[in-house]
Amino acid sequence: MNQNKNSTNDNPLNEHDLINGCIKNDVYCQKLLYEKYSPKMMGVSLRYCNSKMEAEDVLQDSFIKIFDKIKTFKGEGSFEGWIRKVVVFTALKSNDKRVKKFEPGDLDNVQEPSLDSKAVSNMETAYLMNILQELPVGYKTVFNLYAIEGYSHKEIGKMLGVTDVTSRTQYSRAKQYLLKTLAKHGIKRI
Amino acid sequence: MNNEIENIFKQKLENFESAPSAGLFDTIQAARAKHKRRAIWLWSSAAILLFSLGLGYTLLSTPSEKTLVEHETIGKEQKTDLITFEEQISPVIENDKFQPLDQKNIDPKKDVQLIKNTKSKSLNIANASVSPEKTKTQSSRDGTVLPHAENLTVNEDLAKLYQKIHDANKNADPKKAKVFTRNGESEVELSSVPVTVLNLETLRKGEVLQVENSTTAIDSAPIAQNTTPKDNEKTNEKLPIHKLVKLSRWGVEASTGGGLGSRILSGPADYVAMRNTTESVKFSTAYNLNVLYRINTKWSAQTGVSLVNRRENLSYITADQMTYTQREEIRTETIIHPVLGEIKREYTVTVTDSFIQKGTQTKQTNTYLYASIPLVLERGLQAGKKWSLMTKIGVLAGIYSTANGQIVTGEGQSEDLQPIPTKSVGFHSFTYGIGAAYKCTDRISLIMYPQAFIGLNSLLKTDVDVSQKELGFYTHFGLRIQL
Repeated sequence: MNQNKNSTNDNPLNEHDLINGCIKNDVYCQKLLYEKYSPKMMGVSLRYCNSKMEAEDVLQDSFIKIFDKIKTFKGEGSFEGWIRKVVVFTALKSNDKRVKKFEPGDLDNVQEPSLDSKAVSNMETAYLMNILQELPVGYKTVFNLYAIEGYSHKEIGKMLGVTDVTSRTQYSRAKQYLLKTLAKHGIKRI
Repeated sequence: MNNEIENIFKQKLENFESAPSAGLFDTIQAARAKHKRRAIWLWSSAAILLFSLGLGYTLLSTPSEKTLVEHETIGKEQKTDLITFEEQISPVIENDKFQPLDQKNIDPKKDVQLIKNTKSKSLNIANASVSPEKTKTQSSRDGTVLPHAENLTVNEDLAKLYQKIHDANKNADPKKAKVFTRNGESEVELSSVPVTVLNLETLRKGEVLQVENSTTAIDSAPIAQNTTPKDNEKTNEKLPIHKLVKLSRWGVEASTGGGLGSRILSGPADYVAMRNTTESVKFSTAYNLNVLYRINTKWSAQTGVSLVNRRENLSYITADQMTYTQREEIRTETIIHPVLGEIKREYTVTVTDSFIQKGTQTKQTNTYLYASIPLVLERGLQAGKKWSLMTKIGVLAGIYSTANGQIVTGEGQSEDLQPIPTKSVGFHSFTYGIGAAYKCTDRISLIMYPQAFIGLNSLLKTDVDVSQKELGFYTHFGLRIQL
């Protein structure tokens, strides 16, 4: 066991053991869990935040909650899905605290452009992440939840405390805003 | 087409991974430990406060006869006289038909007690250590005059003192005094026993006559004509000079305190967590300048000015700053043409350079200054010859506040602290303390007063719906002067 503790990369524990260890507040298990999921969850967090620092704050709060509440995980569904949910909800709360979520945006006169999807596909993932991060928080949140996480507008409405119609409208505006932003970044019409 | 773009975003970003900064796990563990410590601290504080409140309630609900000792100036110096008194007065107690006192008022283990006679509102010195064996050997009492009174002579200074005390009590018989013992109550010749009778009704309300000990001593006069050699030795001892001190209702108190002050934030959990991560408690100071008004012998009211200078550590790291600059660069491309051969062509491209300016760590001290008017009630719990114990409870009304320092905003940036608006009307804090006083002279005491205050109302409302309540534990040291 001590040998294992010296080499955290060589993870000898399965997920069940890892969860049990974390329930017992074993720092070694917590570290293994963190190392396993933190890069992926950092990716999730980055999508909802404006900067890396903000995303790390969300990630930090998320893992504090995960370690504190891991005993409430009942094994229903995947563990990664549960962790992801915690990160998403923490990010939503983080955005809640200062920012007006649903900016009207200056989109009234924006024509929805048709963009070269091949050009978008060829863009670096990090570049796409930057574009997503540039969106206003409200749009970014709805876009993330609907287009990437796969939540329905009804679920999003419940999560954000708005009606599903608002979520739908916001998503539509978010899409327009995103296309406009892509156009600004040089993705030309075809 | 647009759905395609959404799908691209989903495919590329759904499982996007990015390594967080090294050391974040350690930060998480430190934050969890800090949360646990804070929880333990809060629970401990709550437990201490509840215990103090319980103790205070228990002491406050104790019957007044047991706790009230208003004049404890009969000390060891006078014990010599009291021993003589004991021996002389005991036969009277044995043989006369005195009204028995409530036994709970007399502690048989204590030589000297002061007991409040609620009926006559007079304070009397009671001697409970009367020996039953001795009383049997003494003769009986004749009327209200002690049988041995003609054989007894009390120290003249003491007699003068008692006369002075009786002068204040015009209605009382100047020649008689009441004596309470565990066996009952009796009247004795004033000139023969060192008993004081203070009738508070003759004094103005709130004033107290107090016997003050002096450091100077004089030779005592012979106590009795037929004394034993042992008694003669006693009469050669030095007896203290006494004088009367009139204490008014009013007093002043100045104190300065030190301790730990904190704040309770309520608002979005993440914002509160961010503030709690970047701010930590630091040794703070508090100052009180109060006027005291004695309502009665147990209770007094206090008001004045209370200053709290709370300090806290602020430590944060600013966010990394990314800056972009654009420049034009001339590049050359070479084209191999099948006919023309190698062709070189220059073209201009716009290049964007990005620079990361690493965040800097800032550590500084924030200060919050609050000035308030306290409205406090204090109750005496125990009083010894030099030491006394008291408790107080009250509320604070804010009149002024200011704040200096910085506060971290959500993006890892900071901005200047804004002065925290106090409640100009109404009370913002509740205070409670248990203190001790050491009597240097009859008028001047040194005090030590550990006290806590807890915010009742929110002191701060920001645009992000965060409210801030103050919480502090300070131990005050100061001076109290009875006018």
